[in-house]
Amino acid sequence: MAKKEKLLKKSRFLKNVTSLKEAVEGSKVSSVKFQYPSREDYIDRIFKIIKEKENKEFSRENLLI
Amino acid sequence: MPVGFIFMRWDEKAGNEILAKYPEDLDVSNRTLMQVFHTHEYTGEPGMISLMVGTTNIASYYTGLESNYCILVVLGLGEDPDEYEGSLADVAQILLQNIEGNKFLKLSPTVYQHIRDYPFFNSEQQLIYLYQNEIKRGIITRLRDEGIVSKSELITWLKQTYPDGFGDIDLTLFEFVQKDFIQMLSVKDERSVILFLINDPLMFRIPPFKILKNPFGKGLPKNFEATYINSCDLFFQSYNPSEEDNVKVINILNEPQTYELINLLRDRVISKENFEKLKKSGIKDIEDIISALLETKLIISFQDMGGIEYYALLTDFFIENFIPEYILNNLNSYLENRTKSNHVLSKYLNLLEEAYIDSLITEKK
Repeated sequence: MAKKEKLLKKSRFLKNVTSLKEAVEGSKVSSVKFQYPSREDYIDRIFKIIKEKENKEFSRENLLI
Repeated sequence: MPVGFIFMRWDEKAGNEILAKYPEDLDVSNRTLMQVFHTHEYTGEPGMISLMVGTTNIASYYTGLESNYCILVVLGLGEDPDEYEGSLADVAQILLQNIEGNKFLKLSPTVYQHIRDYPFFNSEQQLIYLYQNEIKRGIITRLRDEGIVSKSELITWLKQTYPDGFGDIDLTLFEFVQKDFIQMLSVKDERSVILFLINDPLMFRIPPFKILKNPFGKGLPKNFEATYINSCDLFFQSYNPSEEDNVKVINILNEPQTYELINLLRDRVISKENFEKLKKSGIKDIEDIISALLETKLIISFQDMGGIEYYALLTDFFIENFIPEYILNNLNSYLENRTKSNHVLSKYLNLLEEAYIDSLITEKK
């Protein structure tokens, strides 16, 4: 569980969601600076990870690191 | 195993009108049919109910007050009606799309087969089945572009994009919602219900790792090993995942017998002789399945000096749900350009956050 908490803490996605929430609520900034890979790039990334690991099983944790 | 199904319509004046029955000698009393309709009428909502009438175990899907159709499935005594819910919404949609000219009559055996097989689909097959539907793919594609769309806007768009194929929106969205692809929620100050994309089915071909690690040990004669490994390498050197290719593969794997074969080939190389044995064990149309798999480059064949043919996976297939992280780009731009209300954005961010945390926590539990 501690490992999961660590993962959640270092998740860029969750950090960006929090920043966007703050922006929506108007409490801090009015927009957030980040750029996510497009869906196609995202697919490429997962595809490469699967190929490198030579395993059909894919873990979302792989994307966090 | 289900005993059979009845497709019927309720008419205020004439009562229940049976439109199709499979098998044709399926016997369900008029009283039971009335009871089923009255139970549906009580809620008035489209959806499934299950009930026991005497010793008859029934799952029934109702299309709602507007259309008043019902698919009633008579199940075996010990069967769980809930396992049929996903397939019944889809079957209802298919039958409704084929009402004109009574085209649905010819579909009865296929419909029954699907109702029978669906509860045994694994999660991969369920995703494949969901994605092979062109209209559902269209909805997902639209949501991949925008993340958020109102139900009323989606209906208008579907009617324009698929004038002949689009039927009932709730039936179309049923499995998406059930399987957490989409959340459908009312949001403050919005006139229509809003659809949010929560999970995105990602798919592409992958090398057949298990076989590649030891082709000989998996049944491929030693002299073909190098050619096999090279063929797989060669394929993936020029492979780029594409929607067109995915649809080709999905359409093939959607057939339960073909899927069963691919599953066998994930574990071992199969000789023609063994394929013949499969024929005896109930897999029909084996020649057609093989030629479709060869044509789609899912398998490759080798023939030894003695004329024995071997079939091995050339590519495997990967299909999984993922949180659409890329959608944060859209959300940021909606925020900057003020094109969506803060209530909608806030709701979507909460949904994505919850889904993301859930996905990490439940992963590898």
